[in-house]
Amino acid sequence: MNVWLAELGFEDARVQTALEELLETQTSAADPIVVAALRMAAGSEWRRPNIDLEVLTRLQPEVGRTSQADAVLTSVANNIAASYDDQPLMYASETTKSVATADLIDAVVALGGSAFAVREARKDKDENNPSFDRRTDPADLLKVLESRQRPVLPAGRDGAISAARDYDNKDYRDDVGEARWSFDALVNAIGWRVLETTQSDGAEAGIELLDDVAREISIYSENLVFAAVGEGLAERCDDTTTGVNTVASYCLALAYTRIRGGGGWRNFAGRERADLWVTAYALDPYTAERKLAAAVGRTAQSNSVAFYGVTQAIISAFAAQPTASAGGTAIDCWNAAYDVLRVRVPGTPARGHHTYNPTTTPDKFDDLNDALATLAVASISQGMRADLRRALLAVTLLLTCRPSIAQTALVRVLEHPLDAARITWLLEVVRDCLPSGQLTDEMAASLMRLAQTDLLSVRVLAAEILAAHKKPVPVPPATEPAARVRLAFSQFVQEHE
Amino acid sequence: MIDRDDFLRAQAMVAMAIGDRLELAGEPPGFRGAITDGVLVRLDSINARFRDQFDHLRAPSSRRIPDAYYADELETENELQKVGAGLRAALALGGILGDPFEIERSIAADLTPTGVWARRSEASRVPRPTTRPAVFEWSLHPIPWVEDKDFEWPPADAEALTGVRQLVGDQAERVRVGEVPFTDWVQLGFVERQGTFGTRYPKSPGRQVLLMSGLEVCAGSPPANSGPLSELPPGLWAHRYTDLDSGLDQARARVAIAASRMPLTALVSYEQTLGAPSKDRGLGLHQFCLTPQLEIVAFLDLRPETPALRHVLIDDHGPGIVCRQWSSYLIHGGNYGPLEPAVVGADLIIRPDLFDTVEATIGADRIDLGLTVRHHQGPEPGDGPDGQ
Repeated sequence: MNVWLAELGFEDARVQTALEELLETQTSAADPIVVAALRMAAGSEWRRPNIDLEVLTRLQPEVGRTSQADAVLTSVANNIAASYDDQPLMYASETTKSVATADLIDAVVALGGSAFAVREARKDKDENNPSFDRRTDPADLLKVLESRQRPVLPAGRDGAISAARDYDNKDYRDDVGEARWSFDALVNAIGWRVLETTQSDGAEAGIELLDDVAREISIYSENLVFAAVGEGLAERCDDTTTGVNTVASYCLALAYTRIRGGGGWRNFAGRERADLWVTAYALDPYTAERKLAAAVGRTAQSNSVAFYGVTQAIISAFAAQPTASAGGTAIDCWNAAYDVLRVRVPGTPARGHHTYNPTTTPDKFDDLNDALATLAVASISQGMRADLRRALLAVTLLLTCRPSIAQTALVRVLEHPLDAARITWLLEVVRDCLPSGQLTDEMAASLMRLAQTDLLSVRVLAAEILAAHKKPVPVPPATEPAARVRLAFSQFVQEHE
Repeated sequence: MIDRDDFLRAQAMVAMAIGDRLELAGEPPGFRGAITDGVLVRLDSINARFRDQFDHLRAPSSRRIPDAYYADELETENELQKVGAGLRAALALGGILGDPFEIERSIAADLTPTGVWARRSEASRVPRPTTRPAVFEWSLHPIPWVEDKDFEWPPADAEALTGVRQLVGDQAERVRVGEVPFTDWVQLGFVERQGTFGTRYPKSPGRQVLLMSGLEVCAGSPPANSGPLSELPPGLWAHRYTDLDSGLDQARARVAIAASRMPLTALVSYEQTLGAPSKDRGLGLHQFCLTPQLEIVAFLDLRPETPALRHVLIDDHGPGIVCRQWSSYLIHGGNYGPLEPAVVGADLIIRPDLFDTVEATIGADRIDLGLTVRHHQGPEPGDGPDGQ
């Protein structure tokens, strides 16, 4: 609530998330009226048929107590139902598209609301779907024929490089099922040649060939070939004397630094493929470490775009398999990075911002209701006019059906420095909806304070409510008039005398 | 030294946010100047905050302004209420004294940024109903031109009804509500606007279709340039008819409606309403609200609920006349946001037994079903040069 009220007229994703979480977890626990108010406060972009059904079903026993309460319950049911009208008709990715269910409509009707037809969500067309099949184009016949045959590859080093170069021409539309683009064939073409070179000319020649191949493959393409070749080599290194384990280790470490993580957004393979690093390290710690260090060093010297994801990947890798040399654990990385990060991260990084002290007994039921009601009332801090109107409908519901909880919540919210209009809107609901004789002392004290502010509409309304509930009303203070007004009025009075 | 541009900006801010209310209050001397002064000294911080809010709420590159309560309006309101609070002392200095509560109440009556109409509007929102004259059946499918690339503008159905002012024969049958809890109620009036914004990519103009229908008593052909809905302030939804017209009673109302020629329904205009509620200010409002004619309410002796939270008039048997409002289906101006309703509307419905009474008094054959259908393509008045 404090977060929300601190910045009037702004949305806050943290509050929104908390509110949605509360609706999902507390709907069956808290007071039904309070939950319904919270649902109203959830904003126009949130709706969930199963939770709405529960909210509305739990309101059912409230019907029939007073005609005012029935009117508000019907309005709330209609409003929740109407939120299912907010169905996008154009492509809008971030908007909920959930549709009402028959049970939900029944629950709305049971509260006196309107029946309605289910609005189907718009079917999103796949915008990337090519509108024509390229292969039906006669001009592409050559391409079709080509894709059915493997390229002719020379033996040895040249063959591996040619295979890599050829594969780099693959378009993302090309079918991996076709012979030309067969992944297995590529891995075989490169892997066996690397093994052959290693066994005949030694580990260094094998590593050199891998580097040659790597140069032919764009770092933005998949690079999965190195993982597959590395795994193949690892399976064939029973004999450590030939150095195949070193080449396999190098190849897997290379794969870890070349494959892109986070769906392609991050440099290095990240936590998803930390296994590559673990295997590489197990095969030959020295080579794996050197390869990783070299890749990090190269990244540090390259453009700023290339950094993205590297830190995360290194920490994930070290968390899975620390190195033997100094500074090679995830914690060491964090500590080393701390001096840099503390400058970059906004705010003051410190442990102990907030200490969570678990309570020994469950929170009291009333506390939960008060807290949720306060959050619902605090939704008056939002910016969008539609959300503000819904927030006031939530306050109307609370004041009509749970005057005591509503006033506790209002007092808490009114303690914050709100603007003249928002206080006015809240007080108007109090004036219109608070049942006679239900004004709490706490609320009366709050109104006493508001009746003496320097905001005209606020103090007049506060005084009006106090008078209506037969409480003493303080005389409004003689606020210093603005110089212009004083001048204008003295002229005005003189002219009319 | 005050920058002249800044001064003009502050003046415009005040006029936009509270100008209507100051005019309604008869321009209290010195107010506008004092509020402008107050805004002017903080103009930079207000503008900065407004821009932050704006950037936060809108989609990047969108040219539409999200419908929100921004810092400029908020700060101007604070200034207005502060200046208003000083008025009593200014009066006292000028020698005008009196009961402080009475004085403040009378000043505040005009200047309070009331939210009651917005709240009533929101409490009257329903899921879009299907109830409408049979000739509007095609309009149930919202903005068909958005999905259908081969759609020919204007919609043939709308085009066919353009210029038709009244329906006769079978088409003029009373429109009955299909949805519970108002099954079989009679629709007195209906208004709906469907619209899309102009987009640049793909290039397409903004388009709108406006539908209105209402029962009317004409005794002959309707007057030229008239519509099926007249215009009234919203007072009936909040106050008893006797408070609005003390001379009116059931007997006089019966005489009036038996003899009169008028639409039975009116669009609500908030123009002269205290607090100057507006769609684009404060809490905003739903686009359309309808109200019955005063004489019909008086004749049926209907009253608002206590408290008057919704657009509902009741008698001893429960709700008698109801205005339902809807805003449905979200669209944007080609930039994925802000999302705004494509379809907004309202209808006014009456309980069948009450309608029978009204019909018997006026004469069933004197009540016709009037309508107005308009369509429009291209920039809206007040929009940018290319209609976006």
